[in-house]
Amino acid sequence: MTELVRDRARVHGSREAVWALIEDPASLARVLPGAESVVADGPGRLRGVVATRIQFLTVRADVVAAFHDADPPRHVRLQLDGRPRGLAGSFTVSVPFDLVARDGPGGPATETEITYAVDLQVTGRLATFGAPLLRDTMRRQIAALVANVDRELASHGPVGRS
Amino acid sequence: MTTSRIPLVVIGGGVIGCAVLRELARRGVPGVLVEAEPDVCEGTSKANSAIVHTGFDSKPGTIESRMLRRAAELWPATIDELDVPFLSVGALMLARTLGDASRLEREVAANAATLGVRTELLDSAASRDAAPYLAPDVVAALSIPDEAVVDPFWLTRAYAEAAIVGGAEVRLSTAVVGLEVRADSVVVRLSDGTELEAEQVVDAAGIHADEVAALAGDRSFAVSPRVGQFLVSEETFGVDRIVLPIPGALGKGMLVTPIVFGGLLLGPTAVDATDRDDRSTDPTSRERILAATRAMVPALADAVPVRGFAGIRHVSSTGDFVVRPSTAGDRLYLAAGIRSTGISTSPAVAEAIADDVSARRGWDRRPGVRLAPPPVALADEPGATVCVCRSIARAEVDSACRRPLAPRTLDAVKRRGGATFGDCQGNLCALDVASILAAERAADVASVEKHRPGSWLWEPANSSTLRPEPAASIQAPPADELDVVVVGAGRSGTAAAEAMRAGGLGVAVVERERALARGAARDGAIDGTVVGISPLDGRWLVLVQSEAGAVELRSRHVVVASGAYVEPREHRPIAGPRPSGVMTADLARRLLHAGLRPGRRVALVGDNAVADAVALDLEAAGSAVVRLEAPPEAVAGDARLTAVAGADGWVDADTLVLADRLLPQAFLLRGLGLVDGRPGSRPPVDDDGRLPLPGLWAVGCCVEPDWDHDRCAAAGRALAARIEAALERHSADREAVRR
Repeated sequence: MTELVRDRARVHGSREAVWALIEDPASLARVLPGAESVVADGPGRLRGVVATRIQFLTVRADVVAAFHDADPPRHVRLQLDGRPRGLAGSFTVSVPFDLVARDGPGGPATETEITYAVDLQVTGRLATFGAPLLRDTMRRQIAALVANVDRELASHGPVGRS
Repeated sequence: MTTSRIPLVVIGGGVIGCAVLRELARRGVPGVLVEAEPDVCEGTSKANSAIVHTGFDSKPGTIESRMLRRAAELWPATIDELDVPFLSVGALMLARTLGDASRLEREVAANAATLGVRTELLDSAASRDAAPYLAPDVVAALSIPDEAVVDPFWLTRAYAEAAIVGGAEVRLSTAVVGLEVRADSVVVRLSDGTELEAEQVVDAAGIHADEVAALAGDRSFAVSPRVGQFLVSEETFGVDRIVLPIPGALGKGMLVTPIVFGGLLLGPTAVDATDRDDRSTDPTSRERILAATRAMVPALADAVPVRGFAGIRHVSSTGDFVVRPSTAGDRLYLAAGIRSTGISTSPAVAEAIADDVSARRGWDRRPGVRLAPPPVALADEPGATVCVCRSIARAEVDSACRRPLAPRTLDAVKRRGGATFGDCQGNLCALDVASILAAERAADVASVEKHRPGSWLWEPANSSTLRPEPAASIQAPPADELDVVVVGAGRSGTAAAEAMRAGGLGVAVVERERALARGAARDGAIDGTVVGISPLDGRWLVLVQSEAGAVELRSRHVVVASGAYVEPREHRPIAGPRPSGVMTADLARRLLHAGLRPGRRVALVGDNAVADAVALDLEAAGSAVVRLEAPPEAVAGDARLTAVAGADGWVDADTLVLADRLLPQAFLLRGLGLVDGRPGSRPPVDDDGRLPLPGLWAVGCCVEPDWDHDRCAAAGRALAARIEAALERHSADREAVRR
C-alpha cells in the first residue's frame, strides 16, 4: 500500500450524525462519488459500480466497499476493492477516517473534523498511470466525498446532532 | 484539379494549429486542417518539456509574455473542457551560490511579480523541506507553484478532436505545395493534387512556417531550428515538481520535469542547427543531460534512461512570436516563431487569432460554445493484455483506433494509449498492436508503417521455411486454492512446476506467450498475462488477464519466472535518428513466428544462443544476415534504417536486430515495490530465490538474465525443492498447533 494523501476536512454535522450516515447504506450510496447502482451487500458492505474520473478517462469499476476497524463514533476504515472495466488489473483503496467533534456556529460539537489518509494498492494498467495522476484523482475523490457528506448532512437538517 | 471553397484552412497540425482549428470551430467556423505528417503533434509539439508555463521568466512587453499571462487565465476552463492529463506540480528554480540567490530575488522573482505570477523565495532549509531530493549545495530556491505539466499528445489531439466534433476536418499526410493570396481568398495547393480556396488561411506550420509563408511571397520573418535532446527516466527518485537552474549566460539550462503519466523528463540541450527535420540523438548530449540534472538532484546518478529523443524548437528572426497578418495579405494569418512555449500559450494564441480573423472576415466574434472531444469509451471486458510492460489490454488499443482522429501508424497508436512506450519499447508488443490497427483499418499487418511513408516495419516472409508450432490447448484455471502459481512457462518455470507437481503439489502455470513456448512448457499452462500479485489474508491473489476475461488464482506461494528481454536501442547510447527497422531479437522472433520477415539485410548483434537462433530463422526467411561483434555506435536512415556504424565503419542494412544484452523482465514486481522503475532492475532475491515478502519467489532469467536453459531448469528444480520443504514445514507447524 502506498499512502497517496493525508489531510483533514470539516463537515457541518455532529460526529454522531456523520456516523449515522456511515451506517446507512442508502445514505452512503448517495455520498460515494461516482456511485452507480450501489447496493447494500451485508452489514457494513456495499457492492456496485463506481465511476471515477482520472482526468482524461472516466474509469467505471466493479467495487466492493466495506467498513473495517469501526470504533463508533471515532474511527472507521473504508476499504474499496475494485476491478476497472476495460482496463486490466485491480485496485484496493483503504481510507482510515478519524472523527473529532468540533464546535460550530450551531453550538458545541455541531461540526466534525475528519482526518483521513488514502492508501492505494493498484495492479495492472492503473499502476502505470503514475502516482501523481492517481494522487490527484484521490484528492478530487475525497474532496467530492466530503462535499457530498456535507450536502447529505445538510439535507437531513439537525437530525442526529448531539 | 479539384478546388473546394471553404471558410478556413489551417496549415499545420501542431498544438497551435489544432488549437486555432478548435477555437474557430467553437465560433461556428469549421475549418480544414492540413498536416504533412501522418499524425498531428509530429513536430515541435511532441518533443518538449510538456510544461504549462506561467510565464514567470518571460520578457515583459513581448507577445509571448502577453500570451502566457492570458493563457494562464484560460487554462482551467480549457483543461476542464478537453479532459487532458494535466498536473499542477509547481516548480523550483534553484540557486547554488549566494550570487545566484540574490539574482533569484532581484531578477527572477521581481520579473514574476511584474507579470503578476505568484512566487515564493525559499532559503536552503525550506528548499530541502519542500524537496528533500535537492543537492546539498542549493542555497535558495524560487517556488513557482502554478507551473504545470500536460501530456502534449493528448492536448493536441483533444484540440483536433474537439474541432472535428464541431464540424472541422483534419487531413493528414497532406502537405501544402503552393499558396496564392487573392483579394478575397487564398488558394491552397496540396500535395495530393487538390486545391482548397479559403476565405482565411492560418499558417501554423511550426518549424516550416516561414517556408509556407514564402510560398505566398511573404519573407518578412524566418524560423531556424534549435535542437533539444531529452532523456526519459521511468523512476522518479521522489521528484514531485519541476526542478530547474537559474538561467545562466548559456540559457535556461536543463530541467528535471515530472511526466504526467509518471517518470521524469531530463533536459533539454539547446544546440542551434540547420536541418529542420533532424531529430538525431547522440551519446555526448546524453552524458551532458545526466550530469546537469544530477547536479540538481543527486539521486539521478542512478537513473537508467528508458528512452532519449530530440525536439526542434523554433528560433524566430523577430525574437518574439509572429502572430499577425501576412505581408502577402490579411487572408493569410501567421502563427509562427512560437518558440518553446507553444503548449503553454496555445489557448491564448488561438483566442487572439480567432478574435482578429473573425473581425477581419466579419465572422461571429462572440465567445465560442463548449466543444470537447468525445470521452474515451472502453469495452467492459479488457481482453488480452497487449502491452505487457504497461498492462495495456486490447480494449484500450481498440478504443484508441476508433477515435475521431484515428491513428494510421504504429507511432500514432503509441501516442494515443502508451502501448509500446514501456520498458521493452514495443519489442514485446509491436506486432500485436499493429495487428489490431491493421484489423481496424481492414489492412494487412505488413502494410502498417512506423511513422512516415517508407518506414515499413516488416514484410511477408516465406512462412513455409519456419518451424510449425502445434496448436496450444488451454487448460481451465483451477477453482480451489493452489499451493503454487508459477508466472512464466520458460525453462525455469516449467522445471519448477514439473518438480512440484511430481511432489504432489497443486500448481498452476501462467504463460502469456504459449505460442512461443515449446514442449512441456505448453502443457497445462493457463493462457494469459499476470497483471497483478496482491497479498490476501496470508495468501497471494494472482490476477490473470486473457482474451476471455480475468481470472483470480489464490495461492500460498508464487514463483515469478517471467524471463528476460533484450535491451532495446532506446535504452542505449546509440547515436542517430529513429528509423523503423531497429528491433531486438524479441520482436524479430515474434515476426518470424507470424510469417513476417523483419528485413532483407539484417545487421545482427550478439554472440549467444539467442542471436544464433534468430540468425538461423532470419536466413530461413530469406534475410541476408551480417553479424556484428558489438552494438553499433550509430544508425542512419530517415524513414527506414539504411546503415549502422560498426567497428569497421558503416554497414549497409535495412534492419538492426539486437540480441546481445538481456535484462530481467520483472515489471510485475513493481506493483509490490520490490523493484523500482528503472529498466533491468533485478528482483531482490536471496541465495534461495526468496523475495522479501513471504511466499514470493523468483527464479531463472528474470533474476539472472544470462543463464542458459540448463542452468535455468536446474534453478527451477532446486527452487521447487525449497518450496516443497517450506510447505511441509508449514503443514507440520499447523499440525503441531492443532494438537
